[in-house]
Amino acid sequence: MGIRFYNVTHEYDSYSKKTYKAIQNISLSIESKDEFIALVGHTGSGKSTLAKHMNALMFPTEGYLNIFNETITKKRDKKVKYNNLRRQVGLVFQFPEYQLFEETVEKDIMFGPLNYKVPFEEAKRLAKEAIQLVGLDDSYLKRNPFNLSGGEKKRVSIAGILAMDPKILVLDEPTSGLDPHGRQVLMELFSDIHRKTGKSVIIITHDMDLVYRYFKRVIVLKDGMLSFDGSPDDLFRSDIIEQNHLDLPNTVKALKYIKDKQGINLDIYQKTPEEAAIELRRVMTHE
Amino acid sequence: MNSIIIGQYIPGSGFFYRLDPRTKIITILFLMIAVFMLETILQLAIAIGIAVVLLLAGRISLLKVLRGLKPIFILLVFTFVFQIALNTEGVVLSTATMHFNLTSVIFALLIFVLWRFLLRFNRFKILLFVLFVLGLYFNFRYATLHTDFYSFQLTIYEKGVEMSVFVVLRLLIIITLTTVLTLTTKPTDLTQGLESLMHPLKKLGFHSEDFALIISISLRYIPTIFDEAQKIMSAQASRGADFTEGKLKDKLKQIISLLVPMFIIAFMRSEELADAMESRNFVPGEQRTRINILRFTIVDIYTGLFTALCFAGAIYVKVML
Amino acid sequence: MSIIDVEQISFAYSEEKRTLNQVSFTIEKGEWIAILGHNGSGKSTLAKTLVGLLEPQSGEIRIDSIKLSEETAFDLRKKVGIVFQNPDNQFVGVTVRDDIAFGMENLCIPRDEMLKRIEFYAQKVGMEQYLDKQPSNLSGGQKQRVAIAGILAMRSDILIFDEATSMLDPYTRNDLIRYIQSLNQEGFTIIMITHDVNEAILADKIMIMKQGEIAAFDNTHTILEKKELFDENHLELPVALEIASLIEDIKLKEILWEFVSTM
Repeated sequence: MGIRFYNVTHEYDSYSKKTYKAIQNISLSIESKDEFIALVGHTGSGKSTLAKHMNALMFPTEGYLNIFNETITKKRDKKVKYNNLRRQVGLVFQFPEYQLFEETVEKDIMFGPLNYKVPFEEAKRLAKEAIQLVGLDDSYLKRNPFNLSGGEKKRVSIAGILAMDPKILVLDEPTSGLDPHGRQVLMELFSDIHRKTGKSVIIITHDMDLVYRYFKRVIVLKDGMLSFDGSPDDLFRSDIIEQNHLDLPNTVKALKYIKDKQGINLDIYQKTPEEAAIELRRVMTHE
Repeated sequence: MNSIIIGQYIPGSGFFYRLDPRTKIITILFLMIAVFMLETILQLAIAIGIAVVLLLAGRISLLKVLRGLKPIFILLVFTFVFQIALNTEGVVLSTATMHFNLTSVIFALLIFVLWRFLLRFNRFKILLFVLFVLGLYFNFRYATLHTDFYSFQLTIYEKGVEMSVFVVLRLLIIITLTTVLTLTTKPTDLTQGLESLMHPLKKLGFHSEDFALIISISLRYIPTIFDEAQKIMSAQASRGADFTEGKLKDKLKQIISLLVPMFIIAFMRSEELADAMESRNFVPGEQRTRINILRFTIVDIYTGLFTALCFAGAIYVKVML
Repeated sequence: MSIIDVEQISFAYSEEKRTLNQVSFTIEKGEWIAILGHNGSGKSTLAKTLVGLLEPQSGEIRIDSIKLSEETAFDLRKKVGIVFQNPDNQFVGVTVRDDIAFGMENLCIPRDEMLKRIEFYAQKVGMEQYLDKQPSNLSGGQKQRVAIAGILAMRSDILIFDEATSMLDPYTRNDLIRYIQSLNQEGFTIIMITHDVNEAILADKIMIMKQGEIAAFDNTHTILEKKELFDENHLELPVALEIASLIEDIKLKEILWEFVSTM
């Protein structure tokens, strides 16, 4: 179960005659439970293309995938209900403006379930559950989604996907454009949803502080190719960071600066400012 | 998203590309009038001859021009058939009874199926259509095995054929002319040319600059909007909206789920754009200088002379012959 | 010499709530000011009043000692340029060249002069290779650079960035901020509206806005020392300073501050 990529390549037709491989020869597997994965890489590294393969919005041009026991190849199979796969793997796009369209939040969240022929009353119940899951109270259900703040819209758009009860939740840059505080609040929310429901969560992000602090697993893409798949700790301790011109988390950067400056023996791999402070105090009492 | 080119502009070089858009617009206007003054097939044939020579001289592929005719092919066929059917003057060319009976109808259906089947191969579409029509004609004319349940007399007159050929040729020339214009002129140049030509209308209260700016901004945002529509479609497809299948009622909802975000985003954009333009000191209706200017060159003068010659020729033909 | 004087301005979109309430401050020529605040704190409204897109209901704004009003707005906008958040929604031209020219066209600058300036400023922002490119072939960062060139070409010397980096990825964002820094060093006055403190630490001064009022306005260093100010406003300190606030060792604190200044 889950999602398996087998040597997947996606080649775009380019108008300048040259074709362009957005992702190349990717093999990886994502379980349908208990995953919490960060997908990182520069703009144009193929992150979004990879994400769109996960719910069969895009098809590989070479290789194949297995999504919840359905095989996805270049050729569209009329027997495969691709639409049903999109219910198993929920994909949330970056801008909530791309999906909100109903006059109330409730109706908007119900759009997904109703598309899958869920009975009306049941869809209503799912909407209520979903809105609570994203940390908004029931009073939001009757509100107009277009009168909400940016952060609230984002939550409603996530609720719209959660209401379909996907096994795997994929979010494309959910924290971009938010202030650092909002980013953290939203990450806490995802982490909470993950803990409460056991759903696998995959998040595309650029923020290495968040990657280090919250995730169990990181997938790094570079020029469409898989360059790392493992734990954040392994990633930040390896030279992949430098090779890919990625940033280190700010805690690590600050501690590294102190270490180099003072020449003290310091474990620079700390995830939060609090942990960093504890480590610094520990070292100073030893000195 | 660059494949979406409004007005089918195809980048290139050559004579027509070097012309000022204003020259092109005016030339084509005058040539059209000239074509309408011609009265016989021979005159039109000469005009077509000149047009082909010019296209070849301007290194424009005839194939591309012909492809531009595709959308109006049906219109040409209708015109042709109408002219033949409606004209009852001149010498009778042929007259035949059209038989509608069991065999002819079955054969007609077979011919239809055969035609649709061959169309799948995606080649010689126009030729196939002509064969299809001819097939039907001969089928109804000669299939007399069963007793007819309906029949009528189809009479083709000389004048009818002449008129239909004439009208179709005239249409062909006019469409070719406009195709050449859109094929070789960038949309922005075209709007600027129109703006410049409509400038005198300012006295009547028509602000051609504003009009041109609106058109050029619209052109600039077409790829953006198209890109967005695709993203919105993906986002709604991720919520189970299946744009290919489903009942009409579901489909309606899905189309709304696509249109509402598009309109809302477009609305937000227009507000932001208005702010951005105002902050850069844009004031509607005020005098502005232009970075893109149109300049007549020697080529334009030759073209003007040539057009005048054609026009004079047409007048001569109209008045003298 | 003060270049912007804001005196007691208030602005309200609706009757119930004032988006800006009695805001006053002064900006000196050549300064770099960062305006920090939460969404809805009024910082973007403030930016719009500074370029005359919104007219405050009370109070006055003076730019270069001239009072901003409907009559003077056209002339004052030559001095103050603004780059907005969404790179796509401020790109007016069909090509880079057309877009850089747009503001100059409105100022009725002769074409020869425009061509000279376009070449000069396209080079300055590093977009000289792209003059004939259409916006759909440019990245977000490149579009923002074109927007800057368009403003510079109007010979503005005050540049306002209204969350101009928030839709860019971190790498492009850093590039752009470095570029803004170099403009400031050349003498341009910079007002940068942001919700990311990491962008604000390069500024000379930080203004923190809260519910339409100025919660604090001081030298960057002084502001960064007040952790409670950040906590109160749901803002976050740069991580290194967060660590510094949690430890006692003076020497290490100093090093962390030094680290921040090198960022």
